[in-house]
Amino acid sequence: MKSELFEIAGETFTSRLILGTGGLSSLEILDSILKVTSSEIATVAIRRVDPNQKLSIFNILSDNKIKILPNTAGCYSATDAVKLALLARESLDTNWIKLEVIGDDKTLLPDTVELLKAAETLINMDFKVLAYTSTDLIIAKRLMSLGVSAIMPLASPIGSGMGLEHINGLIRIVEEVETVPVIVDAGIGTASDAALAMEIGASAVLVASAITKAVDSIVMAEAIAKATEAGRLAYRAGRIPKQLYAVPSSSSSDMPNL
Amino acid sequence: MNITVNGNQINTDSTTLISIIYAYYPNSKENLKGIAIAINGEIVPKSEWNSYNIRENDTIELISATQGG
Repeated sequence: MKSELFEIAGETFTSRLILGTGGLSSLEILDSILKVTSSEIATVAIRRVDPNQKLSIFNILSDNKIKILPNTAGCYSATDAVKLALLARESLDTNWIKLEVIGDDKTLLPDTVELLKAAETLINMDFKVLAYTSTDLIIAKRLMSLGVSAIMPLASPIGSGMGLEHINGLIRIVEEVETVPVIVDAGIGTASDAALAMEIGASAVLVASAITKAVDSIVMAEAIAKATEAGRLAYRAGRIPKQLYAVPSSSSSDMPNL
Repeated sequence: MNITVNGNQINTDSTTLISIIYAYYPNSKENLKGIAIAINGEIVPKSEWNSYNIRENDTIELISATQGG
Protein backbone atom coordinates (compact mmCIF):
# COMPACT_ATOMS: atom_id res chain seq x y z
CA MET A 1 0.00 0.00 0.00
CA LYS A 2 1.28 3.46 -0.86
CA SER A 3 2.77 5.22 2.15
CA GLU A 4 0.80 8.24 3.26
CA LEU A 5 2.04 11.42 4.79
CA PHE A 6 0.69 13.10 7.86
CA GLU A 7 1.04 16.66 8.97
CA ILE A 8 1.86 18.41 12.21
CA ALA A 9 1.89 22.21 12.29
CA GLY A 10 2.30 22.43 8.52
CA GLU A 11 5.21 19.97 8.31
CA THR A 12 4.78 16.54 6.72
CA PHE A 13 6.10 13.22 7.99
CA THR A 14 5.97 9.59 6.91
CA SER A 15 6.86 7.77 10.11
CA ARG A 16 4.07 7.68 12.66
CA LEU A 17 6.36 6.60 15.46
CA ILE A 18 7.74 9.54 17.43
CA LEU A 19 10.70 8.52 19.53
CA GLY A 20 10.91 9.65 23.12
CA THR A 21 14.55 9.62 24.15
CA GLY A 22 13.89 9.44 27.90
CA GLY A 23 15.44 6.45 29.63
CA LEU A 24 18.18 5.76 27.08
CA SER A 25 20.97 3.86 28.80
CA SER A 26 23.51 5.59 26.58
CA LEU A 27 23.53 7.91 23.62
CA GLU A 28 25.58 5.37 21.67
CA ILE A 29 22.50 3.28 20.81
CA LEU A 30 20.37 6.23 19.73
CA ASP A 31 21.77 6.09 16.18
CA SER A 32 20.78 2.41 15.83
CA ILE A 33 17.31 3.00 17.27
CA LEU A 34 16.72 5.87 14.84
CA LYS A 35 17.79 3.67 11.93
CA VAL A 36 15.50 0.74 12.76
CA THR A 37 12.46 2.91 13.53
CA SER A 38 12.88 5.45 10.69
CA SER A 39 11.41 7.94 13.17
CA GLU A 40 11.53 11.51 11.95
CA ILE A 41 10.70 13.25 15.23
CA ALA A 42 12.32 12.73 18.64
CA THR A 43 11.68 14.39 21.96
CA VAL A 44 14.30 15.84 24.29
CA ALA A 45 14.17 17.34 27.76
CA ILE A 46 15.75 20.66 28.72
CA ARG A 47 18.17 20.48 31.63
CA ARG A 48 21.33 22.06 33.01
CA VAL A 49 24.40 21.36 30.85
CA ASP A 50 26.54 18.47 32.01
CA PRO A 51 30.06 19.93 31.61
CA ASN A 52 31.59 16.44 31.26
CA GLN A 53 29.17 15.30 28.58
CA LYS A 54 31.01 14.00 25.53
CA LEU A 55 28.19 13.16 23.13
CA SER A 56 25.44 15.68 22.49
CA ILE A 57 21.92 14.45 21.80
CA PHE A 58 21.35 17.67 19.87
CA ASN A 59 24.21 16.79 17.50
CA ILE A 60 23.12 13.16 17.07
CA LEU A 61 19.55 14.14 16.23
CA SER A 62 20.65 17.00 13.97
CA ASP A 63 23.11 14.75 12.11
CA ASN A 64 20.30 12.25 11.52
CA LYS A 65 18.03 15.10 10.28
CA ILE A 66 15.52 14.37 13.03
CA LYS A 67 12.96 17.00 13.94
CA ILE A 68 13.72 17.84 17.58
CA LEU A 69 10.70 18.18 19.82
CA PRO A 70 11.69 19.63 23.20
CA ASN A 71 9.39 18.99 26.13
CA THR A 72 8.60 20.76 29.37
CA ALA A 73 8.93 17.61 31.49
CA GLY A 74 9.57 18.40 35.14
CA CYS A 75 7.29 21.44 35.22
CA TYR A 76 4.43 21.56 37.72
CA SER A 77 3.00 24.98 36.86
CA ALA A 78 2.09 26.94 33.75
CA THR A 79 4.64 29.60 34.71
CA ASP A 80 7.53 27.12 34.84
CA ALA A 81 6.43 25.38 31.65
CA VAL A 82 6.40 28.69 29.78
CA LYS A 83 9.89 29.57 31.09
CA LEU A 84 11.29 26.18 30.09
CA ALA A 85 9.65 26.41 26.66
CA LEU A 86 11.36 29.78 26.11
CA LEU A 87 14.74 28.24 27.02
CA ALA A 88 14.01 25.34 24.67
CA ARG A 89 13.20 27.70 21.83
CA GLU A 90 16.35 29.71 22.45
CA SER A 91 18.65 26.68 22.62
CA LEU A 92 17.20 24.52 19.87
CA ASP A 93 15.95 27.16 17.50
CA THR A 94 12.50 25.62 17.21
CA ASN A 95 9.08 26.92 18.10
CA TRP A 96 7.73 23.40 18.59
CA ILE A 97 7.11 22.39 22.18
CA LYS A 98 5.66 19.25 23.71
CA LEU A 99 3.85 20.90 26.55
CA GLU A 100 3.74 18.84 29.74
CA VAL A 101 2.51 20.24 33.03
CA ILE A 102 2.64 17.51 35.62
CA GLY A 103 0.09 17.18 38.41
CA ASP A 104 1.90 14.97 40.91
CA ASP A 105 5.00 12.83 41.35
CA LYS A 106 3.28 9.53 41.86
CA THR A 107 1.15 9.44 38.72
CA LEU A 108 2.82 12.10 36.54
CA LEU A 109 -0.68 12.74 35.24
CA PRO A 110 -1.14 16.06 33.46
CA ASP A 111 -2.47 19.06 35.39
CA THR A 112 -4.92 20.09 32.71
CA VAL A 113 -5.87 23.38 34.40
CA GLU A 114 -2.25 24.57 34.25
CA LEU A 115 -1.90 22.98 30.80
CA LEU A 116 -4.66 25.15 29.34
CA LYS A 117 -3.11 28.30 30.83
CA ALA A 118 0.36 27.44 29.51
CA ALA A 119 -0.97 26.45 26.07
CA GLU A 120 -2.75 29.77 25.67
CA THR A 121 0.32 31.78 26.70
CA LEU A 122 2.68 29.83 24.44
CA ILE A 123 0.38 29.96 21.41
CA ASN A 124 0.23 33.76 21.86
CA MET A 125 4.05 33.69 21.75
CA ASP A 126 3.96 31.86 18.39
CA PHE A 127 4.82 28.43 19.72
CA LYS A 128 3.53 25.29 18.02
CA VAL A 129 2.13 23.47 21.02
CA LEU A 130 1.80 19.70 21.11
CA ALA A 131 -0.15 19.19 24.30
CA TYR A 132 0.35 16.19 26.56
CA THR A 133 -3.07 15.74 28.09
CA SER A 134 -5.52 13.35 29.74
CA THR A 135 -8.18 11.32 27.94
CA ASP A 136 -10.78 13.96 28.83
CA LEU A 137 -12.52 14.92 25.59
CA ILE A 138 -13.62 18.31 26.89
CA ILE A 139 -10.05 19.30 27.73
CA ALA A 140 -9.02 18.10 24.26
CA LYS A 141 -11.70 20.31 22.72
CA ARG A 142 -10.59 23.29 24.82
CA LEU A 143 -7.00 22.73 23.66
CA MET A 144 -8.20 22.50 20.08
CA SER A 145 -10.03 25.79 20.30
CA LEU A 146 -6.93 27.44 21.77
CA GLY A 147 -5.11 26.42 18.59
CA VAL A 148 -2.72 23.65 19.64
CA SER A 149 -0.90 21.80 16.86
CA ALA A 150 -1.49 18.31 18.24
CA ILE A 151 -3.41 16.65 21.04
CA MET A 152 -1.33 14.06 22.89
CA PRO A 153 -3.55 12.06 25.23
CA LEU A 154 -1.86 9.51 27.44
CA ALA A 155 -2.50 5.79 27.05
CA SER A 156 -1.62 5.31 30.74
CA PRO A 157 0.82 6.96 33.18
CA ILE A 158 4.28 7.85 31.87
CA GLY A 159 6.68 4.92 32.01
CA SER A 160 4.03 2.55 33.41
CA GLY A 161 3.86 0.31 30.34
CA MET A 162 0.20 -0.28 31.14
CA GLY A 163 -0.97 0.19 27.55
CA LEU A 164 -4.30 1.71 26.56
CA GLU A 165 -5.81 1.96 30.03
CA HIS A 166 -8.64 4.27 28.98
CA ILE A 167 -9.18 3.15 25.43
CA ASN A 168 -12.73 4.48 25.15
CA GLY A 169 -11.58 7.95 26.17
CA LEU A 170 -8.90 7.76 23.49
CA ILE A 171 -11.43 6.63 20.88
CA ARG A 172 -13.70 9.59 21.71
CA ILE A 173 -10.80 12.00 21.28
CA VAL A 174 -9.67 10.41 18.02
CA GLU A 175 -13.23 10.57 16.65
CA GLU A 176 -14.05 14.08 17.84
CA VAL A 177 -10.74 15.85 17.23
CA GLU A 178 -10.58 16.23 13.48
CA THR A 179 -8.57 19.36 12.83
CA VAL A 180 -5.25 18.40 14.43
CA PRO A 181 -3.38 15.11 14.81
CA VAL A 182 -4.02 12.97 17.87
CA ILE A 183 -0.79 11.38 19.05
CA VAL A 184 -1.10 8.70 21.72
CA ASP A 185 1.58 9.44 24.25
CA ALA A 186 2.82 7.71 27.39
CA GLY A 187 2.14 4.25 28.75
CA ILE A 188 2.76 2.20 25.61
CA GLY A 189 4.37 -0.99 26.93
CA THR A 190 5.02 -3.12 23.89
CA ALA A 191 4.34 -3.51 20.17
CA SER A 192 0.69 -4.56 20.47
CA ASP A 193 -0.13 -1.38 22.43
CA ALA A 194 1.27 0.74 19.60
CA ALA A 195 -0.68 -1.30 17.03
CA LEU A 196 -3.90 -0.87 19.01
CA ALA A 197 -3.41 2.89 19.32
CA MET A 198 -3.00 3.12 15.56
CA GLU A 199 -5.94 0.77 14.89
CA ILE A 200 -8.33 3.05 16.76
CA GLY A 201 -7.27 5.88 14.46
CA ALA A 202 -4.52 7.79 16.22
CA SER A 203 -2.35 9.79 13.83
CA ALA A 204 0.86 8.67 15.56
CA VAL A 205 2.28 7.25 18.77
CA LEU A 206 5.04 8.56 20.97
CA VAL A 207 7.09 5.83 22.61
CA ALA A 208 10.00 6.22 25.00
CA SER A 209 10.41 3.77 27.91
CA ALA A 210 8.95 0.77 26.05
CA ILE A 211 11.92 1.07 23.69
CA THR A 212 14.65 2.64 25.79
CA LYS A 213 14.11 0.38 28.82
CA ALA A 214 13.41 -2.88 26.96
CA VAL A 215 15.91 -5.67 27.51
CA ASP A 216 16.95 -5.22 23.88
CA SER A 217 16.08 -1.66 22.88
CA ILE A 218 17.00 -2.02 19.24
CA VAL A 219 14.88 -5.13 18.62
CA MET A 220 11.95 -3.58 20.53
CA ALA A 221 12.32 -0.39 18.49
CA GLU A 222 11.95 -2.44 15.31
CA ALA A 223 8.96 -4.33 16.74
CA ILE A 224 7.17 -1.13 17.74
CA ALA A 225 7.93 0.56 14.42
CA LYS A 226 6.46 -2.38 12.53
CA ALA A 227 3.44 -2.52 14.86
CA THR A 228 2.81 1.19 14.36
CA GLU A 229 2.82 0.70 10.61
CA ALA A 230 0.66 -2.45 10.81
CA GLY A 231 -1.83 -0.71 13.08
CA ARG A 232 -2.14 2.19 10.68
CA LEU A 233 -2.70 -0.16 7.73
CA ALA A 234 -5.38 -2.03 9.68
CA TYR A 235 -7.10 1.27 10.49
CA ARG A 236 -7.07 2.27 6.83
CA ALA A 237 -8.28 -1.17 5.78
CA GLY A 238 -11.29 -1.03 8.11
CA ARG A 239 -11.74 -3.84 10.60
CA ILE A 240 -14.82 -6.07 10.77
CA PRO A 241 -17.27 -5.17 13.53
CA LYS A 242 -17.06 -7.16 16.76
CA GLN A 243 -20.10 -9.36 17.36
CA LEU A 244 -20.97 -11.49 20.33
CA TYR A 245 -22.03 -14.51 18.22
CA ALA A 246 -20.59 -16.31 15.23
CA VAL A 247 -21.11 -15.26 11.65
CA PRO A 248 -20.36 -18.23 9.34
CA SER A 249 -17.57 -17.60 6.91
CA SER A 250 -18.54 -20.62 4.76
CA SER A 251 -21.75 -20.46 2.78
CA SER A 252 -24.74 -22.13 4.43
CA SER A 253 -26.56 -22.66 1.10
CA ASP A 254 -26.09 -25.63 -1.24
CA MET A 255 -25.01 -27.83 1.61
CA PRO A 256 -24.98 -31.47 0.34
CA ASN A 257 -27.47 -33.89 1.87
CA LEU A 258 -25.22 -36.00 4.09
CA MET B 1 33.55 38.12 41.86
CA ASN B 2 31.15 35.46 43.12
CA ILE B 3 28.55 34.05 40.79
CA THR B 4 26.43 30.90 40.65
CA VAL B 5 26.47 28.69 37.55
CA ASN B 6 23.97 25.84 37.46
CA GLY B 7 23.77 25.83 41.22
CA ASN B 8 27.57 25.88 41.75
CA GLN B 9 29.16 28.85 43.55
CA ILE B 10 32.05 30.08 41.45
CA ASN B 11 34.66 32.73 42.12
CA THR B 12 35.89 34.23 38.87
CA ASP B 13 37.94 37.11 37.50
CA SER B 14 36.12 36.90 34.16
CA THR B 15 33.51 39.52 33.48
CA THR B 16 32.10 38.52 30.11
CA LEU B 17 29.41 35.92 29.81
CA ILE B 18 31.12 34.11 26.95
CA SER B 19 34.27 33.50 29.01
CA ILE B 20 32.16 32.05 31.83
CA ILE B 21 30.45 29.73 29.36
CA TYR B 22 33.75 28.51 27.92
CA ALA B 23 35.23 27.99 31.39
CA TYR B 24 32.24 26.06 32.72
CA TYR B 25 31.51 24.06 29.58
CA PRO B 26 34.69 23.71 27.49
CA ASN B 27 32.94 21.72 24.71
CA SER B 28 31.03 24.87 23.84
CA LYS B 29 34.21 26.39 22.37
CA GLU B 30 33.67 24.14 19.35
CA ASN B 31 29.97 24.74 19.04
CA LEU B 32 27.52 27.01 20.80
CA LYS B 33 24.54 25.34 19.16
CA GLY B 34 22.02 23.65 21.38
CA ILE B 35 22.59 25.68 24.53
CA ALA B 36 20.75 28.59 26.12
CA ILE B 37 21.37 30.91 29.04
CA ALA B 38 19.17 32.55 31.63
CA ILE B 39 20.65 35.05 34.07
CA ASN B 40 18.65 35.83 37.19
CA GLY B 41 15.64 34.26 35.49
CA GLU B 42 15.87 36.21 32.23
CA ILE B 43 16.95 34.64 28.94
CA VAL B 44 20.02 36.25 27.40
CA PRO B 45 19.90 35.81 23.59
CA LYS B 46 22.93 34.20 21.96
CA SER B 47 23.62 37.40 20.03
CA GLU B 48 24.42 39.15 23.34
CA TRP B 49 26.73 36.54 24.87
CA ASN B 50 29.93 38.17 23.62
CA SER B 51 29.14 41.60 24.98
CA TYR B 52 27.16 40.70 28.11
CA ASN B 53 28.91 41.63 31.36
CA ILE B 54 28.43 39.50 34.44
CA ARG B 55 27.79 41.14 37.80
CA GLU B 56 28.50 40.08 41.37
CA ASN B 57 25.99 37.47 42.63
CA ASP B 58 24.52 36.76 39.20
CA THR B 59 22.78 33.41 38.96
CA ILE B 60 23.41 31.77 35.62
CA GLU B 61 21.53 28.80 34.23
CA LEU B 62 23.27 27.12 31.30
CA ILE B 63 20.98 24.57 29.68
CA SER B 64 20.92 22.13 26.78
CA ALA B 65 18.86 19.30 25.40
CA THR B 66 19.16 15.95 27.11
CA GLN B 67 17.40 12.59 26.97
CA GLY B 68 13.75 12.93 27.86
CA GLY B 69 10.11 12.53 26.95
